[in-house]
Amino acid sequence: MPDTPNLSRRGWLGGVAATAAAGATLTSSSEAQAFSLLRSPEAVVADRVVPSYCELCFWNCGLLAEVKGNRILSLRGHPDYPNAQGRLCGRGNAGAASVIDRDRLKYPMVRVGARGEGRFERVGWKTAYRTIAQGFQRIKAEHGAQALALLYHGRGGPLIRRMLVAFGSPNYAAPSYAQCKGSRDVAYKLTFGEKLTSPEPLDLDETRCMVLFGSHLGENAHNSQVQELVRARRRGASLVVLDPRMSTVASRADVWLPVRPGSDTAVLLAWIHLLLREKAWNAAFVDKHTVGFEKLERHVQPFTPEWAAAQAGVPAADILRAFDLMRKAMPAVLIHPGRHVTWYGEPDIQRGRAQAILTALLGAFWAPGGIFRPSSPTVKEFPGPDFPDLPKSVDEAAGKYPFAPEVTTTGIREATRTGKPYPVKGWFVHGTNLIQSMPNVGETIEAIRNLDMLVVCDVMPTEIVQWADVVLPEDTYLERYDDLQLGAGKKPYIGIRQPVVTSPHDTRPAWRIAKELSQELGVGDQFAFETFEEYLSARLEGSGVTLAELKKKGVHQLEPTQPAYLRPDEDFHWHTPTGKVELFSQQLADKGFSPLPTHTPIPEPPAGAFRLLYGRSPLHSFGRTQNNPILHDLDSTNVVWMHPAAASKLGLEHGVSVMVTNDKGDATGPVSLLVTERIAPECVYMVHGFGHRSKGLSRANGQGASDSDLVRDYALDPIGGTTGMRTQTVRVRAAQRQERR
Amino acid sequence: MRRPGMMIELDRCVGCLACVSACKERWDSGPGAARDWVRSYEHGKRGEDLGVTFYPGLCMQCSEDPCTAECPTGATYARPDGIVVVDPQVCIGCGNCVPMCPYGARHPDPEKKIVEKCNLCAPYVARGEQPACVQTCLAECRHFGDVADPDSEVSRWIRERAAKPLKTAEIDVGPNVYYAPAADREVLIANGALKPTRSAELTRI
Ligand code: SF4
Ligand code: SF4
Ligand code: SF4
Repeated sequence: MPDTPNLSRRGWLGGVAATAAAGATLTSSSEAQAFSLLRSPEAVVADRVVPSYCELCFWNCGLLAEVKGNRILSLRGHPDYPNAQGRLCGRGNAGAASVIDRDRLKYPMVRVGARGEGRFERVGWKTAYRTIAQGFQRIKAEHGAQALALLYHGRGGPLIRRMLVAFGSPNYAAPSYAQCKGSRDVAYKLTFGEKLTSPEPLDLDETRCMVLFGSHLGENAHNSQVQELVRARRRGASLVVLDPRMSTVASRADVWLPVRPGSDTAVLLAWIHLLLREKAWNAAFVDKHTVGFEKLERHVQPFTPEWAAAQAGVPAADILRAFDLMRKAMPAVLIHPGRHVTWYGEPDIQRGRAQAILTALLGAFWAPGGIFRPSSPTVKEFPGPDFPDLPKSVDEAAGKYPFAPEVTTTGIREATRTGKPYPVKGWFVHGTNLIQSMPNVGETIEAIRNLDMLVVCDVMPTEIVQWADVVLPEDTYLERYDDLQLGAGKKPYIGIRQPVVTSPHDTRPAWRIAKELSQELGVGDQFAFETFEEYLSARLEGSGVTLAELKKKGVHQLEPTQPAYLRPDEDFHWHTPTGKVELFSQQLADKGFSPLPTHTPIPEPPAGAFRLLYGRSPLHSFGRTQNNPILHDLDSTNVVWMHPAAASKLGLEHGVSVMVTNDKGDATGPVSLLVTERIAPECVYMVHGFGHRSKGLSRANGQGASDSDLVRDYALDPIGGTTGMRTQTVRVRAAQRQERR
Repeated sequence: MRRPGMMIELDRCVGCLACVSACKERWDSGPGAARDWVRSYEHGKRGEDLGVTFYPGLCMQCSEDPCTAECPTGATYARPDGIVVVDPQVCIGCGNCVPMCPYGARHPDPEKKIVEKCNLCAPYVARGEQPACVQTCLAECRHFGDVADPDSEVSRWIRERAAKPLKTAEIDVGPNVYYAPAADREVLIANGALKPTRSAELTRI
């Protein structure tokens, strides 16, 4: 290694040292770079600073990378990026370690063993493309192009989608809809005619009261949102948190409502009831902009705070205390719509509707301190030939999910598994580990077994990669160009991801894979550019910033295209059938669903069983980051949280090694038990994303437990096709000797 | 005389560990090693007074620097401004200094094969930056500066929030990292944030 001072390695002795060193072995010298020898700005001087944006999670924070040669010295938050504000979270800070992770996918491969066995042989890119093209062409010839599907998550996805659509398939889906934000997007769309942008347009700068439903910011390190929330608290904004678990943010709240799982809607209905009973609603907004007020008023009459208290298992006095905080702050009340909200199926839409309706009654939509109206930047589409007419998607053809704004992963999996409404025979999976991101692994594997071809394009050898027929290794986010980041917000912005260093392996960026594979598939005319700079320049034309400027600055701020708040006299025509904000949803009624939000209690777990709740660690994103050398080192496993009363009933002590099981014979673990009052006695909790089983992930493999291994009993929402995943009950037992590691 | 130090608001910390990750990355801490830490303490009872306190800790840059006393090589010393450093060229990794720190702020680095500790990011501060952990803290609850200058921003924070270092009647070696508020500070002390220093008999040369 150049650049590192020559250190004396005398006398490596002492019992103290050995303790910390136990279990820590480095196997390759390139890897040692992550933990390389002492570095200081005098010893190692950066030769450039390259702006880009992060992809340790999909908040996509702007960053500045200090680089020397082909080595990243540090990553920092970009000061001019609204989603970073000069800071990166714990994951983002560790991003450079993903470049030198020895476990990365390093070259294209084709399967040689049986499916799922994870045995591959190296091939060249040309061979990989040809293999895919032959497979996809055969599927198209036999079943039509709609028999191909794209499952994706991330910035490179849309270009692969362009390829797939040009090839003739309408079936592309992201777990970020059906397994994450979907129900809230549907609920807000039904109510306001708008789906929410990401990051959510939360007016944390102006809010005087914040209400969170299960959102565990802080543990969930959505960078700018955490920063703004803490700043709002500093300013004196009040905070109400509903969560059966005392999350970090719940521990900081003025009112923590440890509601029984699935009873948030009862509390929301009580707040609506109170607002109407006390005639405290924002009449100006309600009169001018909403329909269905009288029906709502009748509907919520029975939902008293006492009723909600009984449903949710929290004191009515606390529901009232929280209500008072909201009332005092009106209209600057932020009802957080949530992000990962697919918990119980159809009730998630009802909860989302209740949140949206409460927001409307408070006058907090497109209002200071509530939800603001974001402006989005507009840039050109890269020109290409017209897309072919597309057949119906699997969901449309099946007549399912009338309000889903996009195709669902669930629908694609179902069609692949059952051949209905039509067979799906080829998957292109980009940047999403479906084995962990979709509930019921059994169904996913059954679907995979029905495929003629599974292509996986990823950076890491995750579980889904083990099932692939062809593996395409992607550059990490620090080595590639990606499409522009079009940031919506009070001030819209355009951000660029550009290569900071070059990949040491035979990997390629998604844009290039899309372009080159398109040529093999005969749709290469969609990608009529030689370099990606050409593509980006064409898109930026007329935007007010050139590629050269953007490469230098990293981000370009634009003026808002519309005011962030609704003017009092503004006659806005809402994008709903009535042109109004729909408190009562005739659309839902017409399809046979409840037009006003209702609360459906979730059944209690059977005796001796627990409801399985899951959440986030601030150092990990889904199952994507557990193998990152730095993040693994700081947070290598999860633990299972259990209430002391429940633990003593089972005779389990804090720190023991346990297995978590369901009634379908699945087990996950071994994993340590955390006995804590912070979790409700009827629930257990674990951080999602651990319990990897891919041998390719040498650090993460076998560490901790995986909630996805257990969630079989998911609840499919018939309105929007999302999957509720907190529906699983589990049991916990001590790990037997042979199960322990 | 300048005295670089820090003030940390415990009631603002959200336990996000951005500070630890940034430090580890900035200073290339080896596997299992990090110069700073965030511990979490639960207290009280569900339904009554349940609470969580985080303890973001680092070297307290103590004025008495007890940790330099037992170093056989002179690798570790206090700079004139009080920052306690380890010279990586000289340190032999014997570990004698480790138990001399009441805060556990020294640790052997298995990759560098020396004892490591926080140096308040001195080289970065010298070029006009904030320490990495301060610069990245999502809650903006870490404040860095000259604690000897009553007009510095960090001194204003210390006054405004009545911050005090982590010390007890028995253990006081002049720490220069301040914590607020008092209730959370007590939680840290009650949970054993300080330990009596002790010479490392076994590893002494
Ligand atoms: S929140 Fe963290 S991981 Fe996500 S994009 Fe921002 S810095 Fe990266
Ligand atoms: S001041 Fe620098 S070295 Fe010390 S804990 Fe913070 S980041 Fe680490
Ligand atoms: S970065 Fe700040 S908020 Fe996060 S754990 Fe560290 S001190 Fe706490």
